[in-house]
Amino acid sequence: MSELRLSGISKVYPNGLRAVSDVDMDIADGELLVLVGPSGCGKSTLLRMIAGLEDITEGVIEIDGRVVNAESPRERDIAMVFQNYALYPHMTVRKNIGYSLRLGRVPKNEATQRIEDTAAMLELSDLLDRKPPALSGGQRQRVAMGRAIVRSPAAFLMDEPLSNLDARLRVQMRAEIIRLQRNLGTTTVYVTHDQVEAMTMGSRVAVLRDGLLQQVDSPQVLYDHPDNLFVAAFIGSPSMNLYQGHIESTSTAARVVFGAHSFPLPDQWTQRDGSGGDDGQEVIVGIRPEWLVEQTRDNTDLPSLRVRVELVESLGSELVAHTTIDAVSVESDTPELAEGHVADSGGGAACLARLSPRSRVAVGETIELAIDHPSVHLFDAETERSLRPGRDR
Amino acid sequence: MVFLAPATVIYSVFMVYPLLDSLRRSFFDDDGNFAGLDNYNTLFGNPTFADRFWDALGHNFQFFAFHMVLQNPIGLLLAVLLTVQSVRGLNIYRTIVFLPTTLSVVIVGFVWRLILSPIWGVTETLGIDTPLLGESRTVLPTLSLISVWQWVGIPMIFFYAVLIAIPKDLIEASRVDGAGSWQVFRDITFPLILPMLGIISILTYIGNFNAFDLIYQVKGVVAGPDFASDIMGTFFYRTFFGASGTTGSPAMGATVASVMFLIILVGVLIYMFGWQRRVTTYEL
Repeated sequence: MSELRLSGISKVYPNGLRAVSDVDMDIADGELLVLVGPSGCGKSTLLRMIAGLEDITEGVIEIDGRVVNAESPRERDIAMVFQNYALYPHMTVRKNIGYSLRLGRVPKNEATQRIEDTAAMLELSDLLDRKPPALSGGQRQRVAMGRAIVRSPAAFLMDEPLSNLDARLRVQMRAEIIRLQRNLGTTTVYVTHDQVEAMTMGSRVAVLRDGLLQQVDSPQVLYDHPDNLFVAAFIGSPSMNLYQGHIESTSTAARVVFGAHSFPLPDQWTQRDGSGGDDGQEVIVGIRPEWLVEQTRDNTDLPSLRVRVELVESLGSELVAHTTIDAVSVESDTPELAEGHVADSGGGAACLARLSPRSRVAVGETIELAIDHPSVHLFDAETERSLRPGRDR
Repeated sequence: MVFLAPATVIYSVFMVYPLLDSLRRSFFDDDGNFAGLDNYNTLFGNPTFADRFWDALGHNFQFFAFHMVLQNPIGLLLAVLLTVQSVRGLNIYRTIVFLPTTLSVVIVGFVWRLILSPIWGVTETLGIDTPLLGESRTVLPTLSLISVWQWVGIPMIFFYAVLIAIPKDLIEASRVDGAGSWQVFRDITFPLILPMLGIISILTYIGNFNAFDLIYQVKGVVAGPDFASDIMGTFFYRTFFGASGTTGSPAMGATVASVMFLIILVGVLIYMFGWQRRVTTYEL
């Protein structure tokens, strides 16, 4: 039960590499905060600094108002779950879970009780006398959790604890961790590179890129109002379609133009003073695949895009159409984005659309997609910051 | 089979056959007549042989004890120090410690004879007034220390190889669990290098009971003074080839060699059944 406060945290390695830059973050008591970002963004380094495994170059880490910069991991009273579980191979499950209690000189009776309670909570009671090599991946993961839980620490730190599990088990353990964390009410910092995990688990999600904190907010806010191009591209799956465009504004109307397409600048933008409605302003247009629907009689009032269908993936609940559009796409440097986008082919940019499973689009067809244009995101082409109506920053 | 054949043949011809033939010869006299256990009776019953044999065996155990108590713990300590990341120039230290191991025993023996020489050596400067290699009391410990100095690089490299294979995660997990440096070593590192400790111990045992060259180089076949540095290897050499006026006896030599073989065999069996079966090697 504790709150964590990070102020101006930076990590610079002796070789000059700046892994984390000036991160400020408050993590409330009992909160589950997810740190997410592509590999190498500094999220693990940040977690290890909180744990005390990495020196803090600049800034202050406080636990319940106590500055812990100089404290060893032992003194910080923080438990960590490692990606590879880091179970002691020569100790039984019982000893693995109880090791911290042994070091903490917890009386034997109490320790036994706590180990057994923890094991029961994690359904490990039958495995207490086995050693880690005799356990399955999921069981090992639970032992690693048990090792953290048994201590009732000030906070849990989890470093991609699910990434070594297969997909089905991962979903199951994800729910399990959320449940345990809620029941125990222990402040938790959870690191992952998987944005789905981040969105489903975190009460708040912190997006990190190149050691810089991009945005910290609830999953829904990150999705609806990304602060910048990176967050927009990183959050959401499949990720957002991004195109180079500009604003054409006359005295009567303003339009967003990208490639051969355009749509009216939604009202909320035009009413805004300043940069939003400037004529000729270079912008990046962000359209989530779920905002594109097939044009039907019901939505003729929406602007439409003409695309050519290249590939159709039927997922049962929905249909993902890989199409090309006459526009210039923006390459963001997120790996997730690179995966989702087909390379530009034949003078077109890739455009993903999530359509109804009943849609009858066929490969090779040219179709009209209606675009729910008020939802569209616009980013300043230069700064890559969101041109967000109504929410000044 | 075909691929194993060359190795098997070479191993048989040069290792197994001589070993078996040596064992066979210990049951025959020097003229080739079958002698039953006569040679063994002579070895253990005739004071000229028996006294020397028990002396040499005792010295050999002392020699082994020095290595176990000094060489292997120091090797481990050095290996642990080498894994400390924050020290600069670790590779240089590693090379320096390993360097004597690569030298010929002849050179090592010669160098140490010079260093410890009462005439121009360092002993006087260090305030030691006994000739360390010249007195019965000090000669065996001194030779043991020279051997430890030369070979300490071997356990160091072995331990080092195991230590760097231990995942960092494990060490970090134990630190987060609240372990200090000593507890990390006692509870995590040490149990994980235990199998290697066994391997190094048995290699030390085999090496020590086969040892010969350093003592032969420094003290000659008579392993003086007054046989104070005599070990099984030098005893065998004298018995087989003869020395200082006495003629050697191949039959008796074969008998001594057979006993040495048995001593080492017992050690290896203890290791295999008493240790290896109980100590588990964990995949890390």
